[in-house]
Amino acid sequence: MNNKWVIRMLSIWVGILLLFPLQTINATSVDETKQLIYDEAGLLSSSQAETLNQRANEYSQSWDTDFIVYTSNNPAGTDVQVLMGDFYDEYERNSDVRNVSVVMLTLDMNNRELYVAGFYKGKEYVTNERADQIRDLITTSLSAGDYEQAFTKFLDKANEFMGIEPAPEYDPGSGSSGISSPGVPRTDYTPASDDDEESIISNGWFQLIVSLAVGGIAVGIMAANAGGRVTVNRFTYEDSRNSGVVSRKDQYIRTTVSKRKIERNTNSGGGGGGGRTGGGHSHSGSRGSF
Amino acid sequence: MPVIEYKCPNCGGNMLFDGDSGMLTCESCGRQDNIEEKLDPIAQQVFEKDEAIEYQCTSCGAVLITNKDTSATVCSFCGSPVVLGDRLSGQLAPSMVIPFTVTEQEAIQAFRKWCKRGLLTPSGFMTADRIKEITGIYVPFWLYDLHHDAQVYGEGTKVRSYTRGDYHITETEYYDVYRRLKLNYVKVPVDAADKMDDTLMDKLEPFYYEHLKEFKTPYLSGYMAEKYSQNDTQLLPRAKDKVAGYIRSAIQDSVSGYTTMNYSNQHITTTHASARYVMLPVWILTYDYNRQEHMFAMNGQTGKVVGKPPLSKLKLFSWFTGISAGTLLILKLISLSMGGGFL
Repeated sequence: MNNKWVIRMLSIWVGILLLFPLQTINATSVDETKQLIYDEAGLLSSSQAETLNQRANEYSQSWDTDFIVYTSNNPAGTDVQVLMGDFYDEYERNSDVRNVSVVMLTLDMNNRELYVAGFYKGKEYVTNERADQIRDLITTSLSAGDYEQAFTKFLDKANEFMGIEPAPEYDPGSGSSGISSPGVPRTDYTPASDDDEESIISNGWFQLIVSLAVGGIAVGIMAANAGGRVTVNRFTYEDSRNSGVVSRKDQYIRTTVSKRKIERNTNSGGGGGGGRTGGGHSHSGSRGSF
Repeated sequence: MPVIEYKCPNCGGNMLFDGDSGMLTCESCGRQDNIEEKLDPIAQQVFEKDEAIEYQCTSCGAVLITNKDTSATVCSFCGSPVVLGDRLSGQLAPSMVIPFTVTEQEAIQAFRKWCKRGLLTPSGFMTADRIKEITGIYVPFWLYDLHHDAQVYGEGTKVRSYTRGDYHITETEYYDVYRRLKLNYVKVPVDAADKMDDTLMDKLEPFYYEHLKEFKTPYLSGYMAEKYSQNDTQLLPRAKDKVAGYIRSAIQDSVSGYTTMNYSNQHITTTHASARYVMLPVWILTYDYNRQEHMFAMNGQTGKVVGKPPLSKLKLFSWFTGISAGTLLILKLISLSMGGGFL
């Protein structure tokens, strides 16, 4: 009898653990070179593309974040941010990992606009401000037509930022392990808690804690009720014919009105903002022309 | 003689109250007497207070072992059911009784069924094959009638919020609220025996008062009974305590249209309080599990079981794990459906 219970319990726990794969599994599974330079506009020679791809892969592996450069002739004239968002959605769908962390540079050669964006861990480290800095750094090279240099600078600067703990207001806070001083590379990663409820429900630790709380409360109620419950209420002994409200008064006094402005997420060009892709992925970003 | 025994006029056997038929029934020949038509011997006799220090069984002459509150018992030598008349008369005369409707066999069956349903009880306990003792006791209760007049004053708000253009607007209307309620609670039971656990007795409720009958001593024949150890004035605070929660919820219900309610003043006065002394049927079961004695009480009218069953740590843990894992899975699925990842 006891063995049966133990087996049942163990299998339940194994089930739970399967839902929580260890981080290391993710880290080791990306141990091969993959395409990170998507030069659809043909700005680079194949050897240049090869070198940049090597470099991007190297950085990607050390931060568990994909460093992507995407160029497009954009014949349809799509907005650069939409272009970037669509690319990410597609990339994320084809990726082994959901909500893959990405830092990416998008060039729209039709409108001569660029967009520097960060997703997930990338968003946390390459904040709007940092994306602005990267954009400032590379715009001159881009305007001069030196794409290879611009992309190299992008990869280097982004790599540098990934190693620096973001300013406190961008710290994810929830579930993050301890405090590390600025400049010290952080290897662990917990998803940034976004300010909407979607991501808090998606947070694994939040889910685990809520589940345990629900289990604890449910079993607590079951245990408390194991000895019988009180099943009488106020109507059990109330003499309903002779009880009730005898008289009542509801005198209106005044009304107060409070107004609150609704903050709308308006993303203006020239500068930054971040936003959300069509697929619902939140990102940081900075856009500009060159 | 304060000791009353019911003997069969036909065969001289012991006559016991039978919960199934509601009749006084002879164990030996099966003769059944209708209690309601029978004259109660107590009514014809006058006892002096504390007349007897010692009670003797009228069948065998042995000294009856009773404690100070026992009013009906069974002779421990010959097994004859006896009723101690002086503890049921005068001040101590119950006005009404709910006779047992659940018989001993039914009680054991109902208890077994209850044990099997226990989700957290150890499997060894669920078989319920170690009932050590089962005793039917008429527990003394006071049934209180409490009438109240409640007047409450306060400020209520009604909040309406809506969006217009770029603004979120919240409109709060304030009202001066007054309510006067008449709240009559009838037959609120409070157990009057010291040796009964109050919370256990509270959980046994409700008793259905349609079956409340005028008290006659033959109903006690074959069962144990206690007399009250606390009188109605001593227990009035407990009765008031019991209805205080009902009054609060009645007041809350009367102001249900408001979003928030702040009471500035509440006057609640008890306009009438009276109590009736009644005997209510309770089965007490003692059960041996793991060398520990567990006590359960069962409503002798409805069969409702209360008491603290042993809890299995293993089952507690399994339920906890199962519910947690289930919740986790649901949360994961919600997260997935919202476009997030499964992991």
